[in-house]
Amino acid sequence: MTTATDPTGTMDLGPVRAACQEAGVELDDAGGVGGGPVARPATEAALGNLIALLADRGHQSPIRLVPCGGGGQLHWCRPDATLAPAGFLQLSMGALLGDPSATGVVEYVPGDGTLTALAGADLSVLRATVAEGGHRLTPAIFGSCTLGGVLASGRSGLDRHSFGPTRHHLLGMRMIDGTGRHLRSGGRLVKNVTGFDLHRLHAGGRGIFGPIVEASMRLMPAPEAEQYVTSPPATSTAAAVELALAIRGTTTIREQGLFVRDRVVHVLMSGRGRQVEADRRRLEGLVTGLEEHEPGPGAEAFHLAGERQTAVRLSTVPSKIAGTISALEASIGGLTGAVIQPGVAQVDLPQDLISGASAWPSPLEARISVRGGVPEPLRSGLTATVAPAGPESRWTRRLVEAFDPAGLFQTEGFPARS
Amino acid sequence: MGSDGKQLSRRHLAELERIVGKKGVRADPTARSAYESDAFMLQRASAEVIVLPRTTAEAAAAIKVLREAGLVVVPRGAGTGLSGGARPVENGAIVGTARMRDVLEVNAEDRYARVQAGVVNVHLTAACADAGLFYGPDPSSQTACTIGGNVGNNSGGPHGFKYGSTNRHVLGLTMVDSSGEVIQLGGPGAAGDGDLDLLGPVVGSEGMLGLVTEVTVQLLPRPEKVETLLCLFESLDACCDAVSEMIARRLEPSAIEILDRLTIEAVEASVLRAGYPDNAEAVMLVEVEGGDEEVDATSADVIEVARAFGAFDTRRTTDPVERKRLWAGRKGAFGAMGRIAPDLYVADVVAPRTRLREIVSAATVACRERNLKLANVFHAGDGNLHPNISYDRRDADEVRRVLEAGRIIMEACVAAGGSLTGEHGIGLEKQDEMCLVFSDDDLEAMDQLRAAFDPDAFWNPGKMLPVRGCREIHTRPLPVHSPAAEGAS
Ligand SMILES: Cc1cc2nc3c(=O)[nH]c(=O)nc-3n(C[C@H](O)[C@H](O)[C@H](O)COP(=O)(O)OP(=O)(O)OC[C@H]3O[C@@H](n4cnc5c(N)ncnc54)[C@H](O)[C@@H]3O)c2cc1C
Repeated sequence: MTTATDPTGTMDLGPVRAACQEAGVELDDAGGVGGGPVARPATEAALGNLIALLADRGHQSPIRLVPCGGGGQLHWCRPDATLAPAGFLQLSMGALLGDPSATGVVEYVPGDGTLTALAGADLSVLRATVAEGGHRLTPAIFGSCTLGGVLASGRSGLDRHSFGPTRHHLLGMRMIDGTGRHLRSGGRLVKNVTGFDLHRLHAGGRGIFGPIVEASMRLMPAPEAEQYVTSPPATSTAAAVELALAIRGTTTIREQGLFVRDRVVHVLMSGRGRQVEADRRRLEGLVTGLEEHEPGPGAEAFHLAGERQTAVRLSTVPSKIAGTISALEASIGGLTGAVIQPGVAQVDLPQDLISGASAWPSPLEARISVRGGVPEPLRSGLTATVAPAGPESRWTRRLVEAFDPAGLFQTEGFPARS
Repeated sequence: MGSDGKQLSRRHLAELERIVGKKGVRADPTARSAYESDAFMLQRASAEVIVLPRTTAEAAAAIKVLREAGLVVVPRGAGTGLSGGARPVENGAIVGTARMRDVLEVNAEDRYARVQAGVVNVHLTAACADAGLFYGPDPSSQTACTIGGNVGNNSGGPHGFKYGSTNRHVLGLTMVDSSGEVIQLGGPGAAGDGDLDLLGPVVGSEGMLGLVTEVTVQLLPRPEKVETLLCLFESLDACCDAVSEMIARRLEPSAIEILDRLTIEAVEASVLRAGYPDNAEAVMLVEVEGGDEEVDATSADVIEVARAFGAFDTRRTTDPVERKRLWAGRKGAFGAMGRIAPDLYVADVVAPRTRLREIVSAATVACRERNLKLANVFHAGDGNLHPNISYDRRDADEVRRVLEAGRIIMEACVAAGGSLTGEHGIGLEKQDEMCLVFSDDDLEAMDQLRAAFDPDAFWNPGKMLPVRGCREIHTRPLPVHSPAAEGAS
């Protein structure tokens, strides 16, 4: 199996050019994200052929492919491809939409609450499409990103609080694997247990099993009313987190989103109009001095305020988050924040916050997942935490061997292997 | 017989007894016959041995012995599965979780529970009731089925309309792989976002990727208010259309179920006597949960739609005793149908929710043409239909007609853009029909996924994936199963 061993290397475009020509795929030597080479297949068949051809040649000279939506998620899930764009051939999933004005919607069935769209479809376009039929699409991630990119990078939005992770709403998928096979898994309906859920591997798989071509999603009804409120700043992040935990702890306030940033608690409530009013009154009984924010479309303001470019994410159970935050802030010397959800609490650490840090606090009762560049002193502390041993490692290796035997889509460090 | 054609040796039996205790190893004919099938009664086979460990460590050690003995293993919970997933296979042992019944932890603050795989679904909810919490998935078989079995089949239930199936509730698992190694996937506090999701394919894998010994699930806070509604219709079609309209209007109750006249009669004639009226062709049972205000608003909307589609009576109750009675009727409906005929074929298909009436009609016609008795009770809100066909398994011709009708219902569903199974799984029942939905490449990829977890086909071999290639299945008519032919398998 060929793997990417030199992340700064430049790929020999010769065999790529030949394969693109043979498969009838347009190649742009430097038109991709970060100036890297990009292939723009006009059809799925051409994309499959290109992958199959490169898989056959992959053993002769290392070729590294990375499926690419808008490129907005690349830094997040494939830092190697953003650090050394010349070392990868980007596969433009947007090219499969054809006409630049195309939405990528394959099927929106308002009466069934489902959406099927091409992977290269822009999430904001999809969100607007389903909003017209009174639905909303999770994840509520704003800014430029594609459906396939969001799924492959395993991202959820702040609406994870009420809906759970994005992958829970993924109904099915079509994809092309690392041998060029066109595959399908799941379906388009809201309930289905037919066969193994291959699509669940691709959601969060960061493209290592080949490109997602199309995905079907369950939609949620758009709420009748929404209110976005914030607390006054607390004395510390930990104090604000305690307040957020108190809100989460009351079952009589049905908050839909909850996070702490700069010692302020941000709360989103949505649902039936009178219920949101009633919940707001109850919240006022718990927090004085609430400030109400104008909700943007889909409470966009709430989500934009909470989104953060993350290098490292810490996840723990809610009861341990306040302690984790205090220990972290003491060790990195900056203000963090937290996203509080029913069963999990997370701290997103952006690059600038951890760039000066030299060690993780010890003990740290949280799971660490790496999503971008991590400073060297912190990196050494991570290896032991993230590399699984035993069967999990073997399963992963065999999955990669089955779906990407030529190693075209593999990346250093993911999935972590012992 | 083991793969070498010999019976499980005395040494292996003794070793198993040493590990799990005498009570945990059964190789006598009585026990073997009790485990011959799950609730899909049409296919039976005998296991070499039934092993019932009490802990993960015992299970892991027993797996090593069974593997050394050359047997393969079928994991089993309570055996309530309706597609043959837990039926023994040739040269196979059953490893059951009947003695793994401990709720290991209920964490009220972080809202999760850790249970042994053999914990019965309803016992989990009982165990967390004092903390004001409950477990979401509520299969109608919940008084018997296990959490491990729910994981195996990614089971749903009436309230799956709001809460989703098992895969939305599992936070982590402990599993034993085919070499007897123990592995932990996920767990409380693990977001899982951005990581490779191995948990996802395991839930719903029908016992083919390993033995699940412990499960960590999320718990939900009990809603402030719960209201149950009963809407009575003079026609099943109108009742189906009303559900389609509720979905189109994006109403959000927690459950929408339909029972037809035959089901109502069976329930009312049984000990369950839920109080369903005898003058309705169809009953829609709806539950609405949440805060006072949202329950009031949503209930009013549900009733408005039901009336607009011809409901001649609607009732609502928040009284816990009455609600329990209404739900007992729904959840006991399959059992109550035992009064109609000795055996029941429970079909399980999913239709687009815009086309419920069409598929229900197709099932009615398929059964009428074959002179079969059909009763409908189903998770209408999810489009998950359960046409239930009564039969007598001693009547070979009736069995043939039942399976034929089942196949026609599946085909109608797939042609309408639906799926083969919403919650009961593929098992042995629907293997060939997988080719109605998937290509040879898709199925090969699924087999590769299976082999990545279990390269030696040690877990539940011969289930879910078609044994023959799809081209062969498409070009040659499917053999019609007959119990006589299957009895020996
Ligand atoms: C009256 C009745 C009503 C039903 N209602 C519903 C319903 O509303 N919703 C629904 O979804 N289903 C329903 N079912 C089907 C069935 O109850 C479910 O599929 C249930 O989850 C099976 O649980 P079990 O413990 O009986 O598992 P089993 O039948 O023993 O096994 C089911 C599958 O899971 C595997 N398995 C079991 N335990 C393990 C384990 N520990 N590790 C790995 N694999 C395992 C088995 O190999 C098998 O493939 C109903 C069945 C009946 C008889």
